[in-house]
Amino acid sequence: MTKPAIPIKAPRVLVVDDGITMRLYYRTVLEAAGFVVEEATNGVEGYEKALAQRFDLLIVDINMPKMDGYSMLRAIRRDAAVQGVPALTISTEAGQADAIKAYESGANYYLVKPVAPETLTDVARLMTGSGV
Amino acid sequence: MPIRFGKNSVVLDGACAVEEALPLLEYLQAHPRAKVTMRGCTQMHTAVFMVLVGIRPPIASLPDEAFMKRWFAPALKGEQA
Amino acid sequence: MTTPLLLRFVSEARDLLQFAASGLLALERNPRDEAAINDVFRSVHTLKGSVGLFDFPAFTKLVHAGEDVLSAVRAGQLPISSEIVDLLLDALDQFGAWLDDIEGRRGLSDGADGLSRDLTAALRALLPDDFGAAATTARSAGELASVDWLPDISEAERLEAFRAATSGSQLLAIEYSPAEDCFFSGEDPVNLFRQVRPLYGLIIEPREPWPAPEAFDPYRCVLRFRALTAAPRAEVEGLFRYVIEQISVVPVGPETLIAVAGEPNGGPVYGDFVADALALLAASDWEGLRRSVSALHELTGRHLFVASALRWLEAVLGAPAPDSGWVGALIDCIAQGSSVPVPPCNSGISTTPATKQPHSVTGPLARLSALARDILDGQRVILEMAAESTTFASRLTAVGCTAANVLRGVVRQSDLEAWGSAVEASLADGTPVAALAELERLLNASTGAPSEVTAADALRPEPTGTQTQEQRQAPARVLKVDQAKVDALMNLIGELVVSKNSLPFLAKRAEEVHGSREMGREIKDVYGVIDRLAQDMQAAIMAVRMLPVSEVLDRFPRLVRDVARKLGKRVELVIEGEETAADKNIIEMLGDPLLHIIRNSLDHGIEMPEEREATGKPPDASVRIKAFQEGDQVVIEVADDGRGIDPERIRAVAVAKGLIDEERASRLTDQEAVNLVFAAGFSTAAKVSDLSGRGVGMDVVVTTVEKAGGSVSLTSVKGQGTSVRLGLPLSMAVTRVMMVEAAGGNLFGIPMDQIAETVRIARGQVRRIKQAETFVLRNAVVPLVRLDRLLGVEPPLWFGDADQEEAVLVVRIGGSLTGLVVDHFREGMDIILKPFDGILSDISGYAGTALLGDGRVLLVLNLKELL
Repeated sequence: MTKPAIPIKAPRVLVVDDGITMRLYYRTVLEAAGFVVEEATNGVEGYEKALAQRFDLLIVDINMPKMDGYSMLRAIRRDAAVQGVPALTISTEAGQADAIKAYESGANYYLVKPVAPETLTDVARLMTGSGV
Repeated sequence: MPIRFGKNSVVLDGACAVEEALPLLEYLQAHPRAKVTMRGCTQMHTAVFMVLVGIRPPIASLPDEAFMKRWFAPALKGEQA
Repeated sequence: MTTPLLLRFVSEARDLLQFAASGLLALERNPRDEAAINDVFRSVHTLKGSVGLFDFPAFTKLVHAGEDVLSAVRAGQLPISSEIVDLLLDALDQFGAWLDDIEGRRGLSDGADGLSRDLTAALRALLPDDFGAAATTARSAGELASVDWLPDISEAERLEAFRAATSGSQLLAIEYSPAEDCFFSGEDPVNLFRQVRPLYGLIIEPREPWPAPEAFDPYRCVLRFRALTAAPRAEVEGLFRYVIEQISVVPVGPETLIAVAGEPNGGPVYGDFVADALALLAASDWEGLRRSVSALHELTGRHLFVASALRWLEAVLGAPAPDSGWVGALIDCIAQGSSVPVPPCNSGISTTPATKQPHSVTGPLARLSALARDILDGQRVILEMAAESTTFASRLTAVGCTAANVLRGVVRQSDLEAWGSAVEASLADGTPVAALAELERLLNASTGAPSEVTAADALRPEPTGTQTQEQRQAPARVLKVDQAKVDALMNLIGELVVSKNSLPFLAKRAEEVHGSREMGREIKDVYGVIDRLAQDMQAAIMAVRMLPVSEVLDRFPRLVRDVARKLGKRVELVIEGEETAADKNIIEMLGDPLLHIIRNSLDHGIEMPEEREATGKPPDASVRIKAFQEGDQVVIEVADDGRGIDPERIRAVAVAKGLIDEERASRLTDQEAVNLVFAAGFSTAAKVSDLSGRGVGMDVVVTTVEKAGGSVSLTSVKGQGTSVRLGLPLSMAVTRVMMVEAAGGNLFGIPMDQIAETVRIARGQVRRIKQAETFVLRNAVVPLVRLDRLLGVEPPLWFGDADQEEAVLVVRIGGSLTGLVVDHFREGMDIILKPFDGILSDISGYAGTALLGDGRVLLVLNLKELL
């Protein structure tokens, strides 16, 4: 279980962000890099999608309506069905406390907006172990 | 090359870009008495300029280019008011 | 990518503004409405995230300030008031106006930077003092920076500025303290001042004492710039818009410039002058006073204190309505002979020595591995704090998976397995100890010096057993390994394509040698099927290697912005067809030529905004990069609407540089003349620029593109712009060669795209010009070279029959024709070219080898190197 199979298919990424521009940006950048991208517009939808489908990486915004990113990640880490999927938070908050909070909620890495396309692809490639 | 390093003199010519700053510095560190000729220099990146004002090598000539001639001269010649 | 994203942003931002505005109004009615404040905050927050994707610093900064205020309100640190709501609504209105600008012109209007700064300052002024550190970076517009350095500007320059001010110009003092790392973000602070016009003073000083020469860091900017100008504020703020928080701009009254200094050598005449002057002043007889001042000035040595005072008096009196207060003060100055105190500079500098080490240059590989380390370090932090968590198992699994993914390809297989076992152990005993220990070991191990990996090691398949002493692979190997696998597939399919070519021979043999016509036909049928499958397969594998051109084009918006800014030009970059795909190798080699073309365009093609306006063009130039597929080529066009290339000038330069003679120059058509820019050693720039210059011309572009089997063409209309077109094969994988026999029956391949034609000429037609052999091909004299001789083999001697024919391959190298004498022509063939590697890679003259259908190895010649 700690040795994920080498992704034969394109790695799948779930992008959870309430901003439509941000979602389009993530989609454009990640698809260009060979990822398959699914979107969710808030924490609740993100949680439901993460339960329903297999993903290789979750990219989660923090400040969202209905359920914020922290809560969504905590819910996911509590759920045995989806455990183990790497999660990346991307928020506008740059402080140390925000990083700790992201880690505490179950994120594996965090980035601060705005994220340059190459950083986003590099991190996504590393976290999914794929050379897409 | 916008910068030509001689035995004991260095000539700045044309536009000296940011990447010239390090080689210039290293040369001036190794040749503390080398004279700097800038007559033909047309533009100088801030980093290159900073090396010159920071190290203060002997100056053989200032740039002919108007902007530098007017505004760089005091700092390069050490004539701070 | 930019345009749809920008459109999406504008429409989203409009919705968010609407939402935020109604939330603010609800909040004003009921300050305790938590849902309302949350809504407003989230809208602005989302806006902040989105606007950060674009290059609108003024917009971004103001949104940030708005969010900070809302954040303070939400946290209860700042009670909501009508004043706050008004300011926030103003900011929202401003956003709306900017969105209109963006939609209409794709950029913010002039003055946006100043507006943003004022509004930002007003918003930040609302914030409690202890509000987050981010709020302290911006200097508010109202805060007056000290201008006590003004007297350090030379008197002549101050006088000039003073005269400008008294004739109606508003003077501004600019103080600019660039960030220490500004060189890394492409700033060139001092050259920003080139565009500040008119400039009356520029004082450049270190902010701290210079370190000893050996500790000097050339890439840490410690300079401070102070300037005096009469340029309009909006223009100054526009010029400095990317560093606007690092500058302060303060209006300067002309009187601040008056400072009298000089040698205190008095004389008896001054007493009389003072008495006269005071009388004239009392009578406001400016004309009389002017005469009196001028008379005394002529008698006074220019270095004297009094002379300085007189110069200032002349300047003050030069104004249409002289200020009697200033006149009186200056006369007092002369009466007392005492200097107006001019504080010396250079005294208030702190004594902190510079200790920061020079930055090291980091390549993409280093960046990737630094990123990988950082992610791994994150996993360590998570493990350390996850110990007590109720979701420990789940989070440990996620950490295990993330770290394994990051490590894959960076560490050897055995390390990956050790990490897996450590995670299992931690899961079993419910503590992170085992996983932490292993992670620390891995982190420390990967800091060591990079181990040497020989080519053989890199190619060896990863061991599947539990060997522990294997050579560790170089960091960030993962991408390369994947590519190697695809390359291996590519080679295999290439060989399959070649092998299948032996089937027609077999069919022929079946017919001719074994006399079975039916068998021959069956083989041909089978060949047809295999041929189709092989071609499909080749296409499928090539598709795996295809990348969109956006891989290289994505870097250009930023580059164009930076370069244009550096040059003081205004350029709009439009990219079309970035989804067009081509082979990875082609995409990778495209970067440098494109960079060169675009820099050339920005540097030489695009005019300064004033020049454009003077010729009736919009001030914003356009550079358009268009990529598309045309047949089996990918075409990239870079077109600008700049000044174009003047064929006359090109002719003149080419003649001056001795590339062609005058007679030939005059016979060239305009297009032929324009094409001369591709000639080696040609560079039209009168001076070498730091952007595209350095003596490297367009010939490098041609060389690089031709090496990849592509072509470059250029069209230009003087005054209207230049368009460069790169045509490249979609894939470099398959090369078409013609086989020839030479050097005593050996086979050689020659790339088909270099071959102009094949001819047979009678030996008697070979003419000798001195040592060189030539022949005449359609009225042109073509030099003749014997391939044998090029390969170091003495060509066979012949006697007698002058009618016997030579097989001559006419090849085109660098635009000129050469005849290559070979023993025999053979068939053309698609091959997979393998460059020499290892010790063979130094051998020049060969492009590489290819495997033939019958198992023989074909040497493919590199004629450019041979000839």
